[in-house]
Amino acid sequence: MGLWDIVINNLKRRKGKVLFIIAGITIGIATVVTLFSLTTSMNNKMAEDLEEIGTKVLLAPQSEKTSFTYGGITVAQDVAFDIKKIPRDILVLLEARSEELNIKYIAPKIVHEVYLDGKSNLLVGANINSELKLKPWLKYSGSLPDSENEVLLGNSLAEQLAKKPGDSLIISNSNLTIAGVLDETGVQEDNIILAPLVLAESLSGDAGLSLVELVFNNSPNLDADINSLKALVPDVKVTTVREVMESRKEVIDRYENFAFLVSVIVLLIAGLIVVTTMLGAVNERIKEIGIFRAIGFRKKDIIYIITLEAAVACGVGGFFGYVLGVLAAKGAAPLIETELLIGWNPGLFLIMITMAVIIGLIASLLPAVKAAQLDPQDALRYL
Amino acid sequence: MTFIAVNNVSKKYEIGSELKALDNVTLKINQGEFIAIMGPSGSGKSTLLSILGVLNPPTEGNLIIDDIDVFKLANEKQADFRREYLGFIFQQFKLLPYLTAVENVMLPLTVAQISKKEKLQMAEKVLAKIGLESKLHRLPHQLSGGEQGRVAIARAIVNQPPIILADEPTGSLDTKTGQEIIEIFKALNEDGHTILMVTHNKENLEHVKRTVLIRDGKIVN
Repeated sequence: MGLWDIVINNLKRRKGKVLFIIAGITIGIATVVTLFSLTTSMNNKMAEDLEEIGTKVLLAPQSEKTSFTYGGITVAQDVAFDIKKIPRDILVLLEARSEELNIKYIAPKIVHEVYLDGKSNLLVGANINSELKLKPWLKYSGSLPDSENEVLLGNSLAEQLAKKPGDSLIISNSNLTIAGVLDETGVQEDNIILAPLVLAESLSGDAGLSLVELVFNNSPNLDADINSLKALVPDVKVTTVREVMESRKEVIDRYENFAFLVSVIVLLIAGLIVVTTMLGAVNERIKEIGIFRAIGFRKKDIIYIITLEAAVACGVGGFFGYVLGVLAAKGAAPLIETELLIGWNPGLFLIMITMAVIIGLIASLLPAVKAAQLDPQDALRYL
Repeated sequence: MTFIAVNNVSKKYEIGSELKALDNVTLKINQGEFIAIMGPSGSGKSTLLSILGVLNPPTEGNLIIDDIDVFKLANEKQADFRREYLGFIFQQFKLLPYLTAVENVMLPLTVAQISKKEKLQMAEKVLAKIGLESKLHRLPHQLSGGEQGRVAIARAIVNQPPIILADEPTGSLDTKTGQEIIEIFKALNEDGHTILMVTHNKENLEHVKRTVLIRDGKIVN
């Protein structure tokens, strides 16, 4: 028989206390795993989206007057009132140099002010398929416009107008069909009418472009590519757009900080559970510790027994905590974002087990030292 | 030759007022002696046993065992000393209830640097010596009082300590079983163990080589 056998015997004998420690650590580790898995998955998803989308640049007409924003940047007031436009032949120039400048997508837009129920709204003419590739977070119900008279309606605007897919919409005497309604985004797309470029052109009566969104492949030469673009179109305002990704990153960062804080608090509570439970166990075992000390166990042997008991119980808690945490994250992921992927991560599993064992060792140190410092004579008074 | 020397040992406790449990006690014990320590309750005999057991340092005086001033040893060395020199038989035997007979006996060997197999063999051998070879895997509550006493003795002698300290080993047993325990002590003493036994039972005195009487913290014989 060795010290390990005493540890195992005690764990078997004190099932209630051991289960309490395991439950405490399981909850603590499960919380950490759930929050960590979700934030990691959200970050990965965002990185994937960024990689897929590339770096976005907005070309807008040069103007000193400014009044409205599109895509996260302020655009000249003139754009809204269709006064100044980007010449359409810029597209030919961009297409010709796209490979050289690392341009992935070219998405021209015509922004046109329209009135619905007497209220001013933005109609954005674009190549809708490119637009959806450019903004993969844009989802819709209904279908995509497949003719020049069909549009997609922003979620808030559809609600405001009480319109649904299949309904008609009259703009400037043109009878249009609402092919689909965009899902809520929380950004400007909620209030726009997304129309095929040709329709916007015919409604505005101008062939010029209000904006051109460009997506660059992420490359080390990005800054140089953008500078080349600026040189290529000196009469156009060139701005790098951070927009939704920036705000998403900010949300994830905040969530990450919150998750970290919650994890620390929960793990501290789990540690306190171990401390109090082990202190209680030590008080119950004064007689036994007295016998150990009388027959020649050293203080370090007592510390070894107590800390090892806690470490084993916490290690088991760490195992269950990891499993429970991943399952909880898998359950919670669809509530946060449908495309979050939560998987079993052996590295995280090992880290969580190690963390649980370390919590057990640290939290049981105080009870263990208290047990070891029991005067054998005092302990034997209980005999 | 003196094996254990208790030199002018006093032990005071502060419990409200000062209580002198032992008062300038001097006792010389040779190797192989079988000594009974007797006295009324509160006379200081258990305090003397705890000092002899290197569990309770005296307030004054010293304890020399095998030429070692034991209370001058560092705390951890005192634990090593207890393991090497002393075997304890506590009142009520105090076996660990969750360990079997053989595991209880192996307990003092737990921290010894020998293999598990060797520890088991040593424990089985000692239990066989005291007639418990058929009850190795019984838990304490599955054993009679006498059998528990014998397991406690086996635990005390398994690592072959030269000194055995017993605190009222027959106190909780009937006369016949108590007599069996004393017979085991006699046999161990004949094997060379020095035995110091606190007892109230005068019947035990006929088996010991010397009796030390304590009253009010002083040796009176």
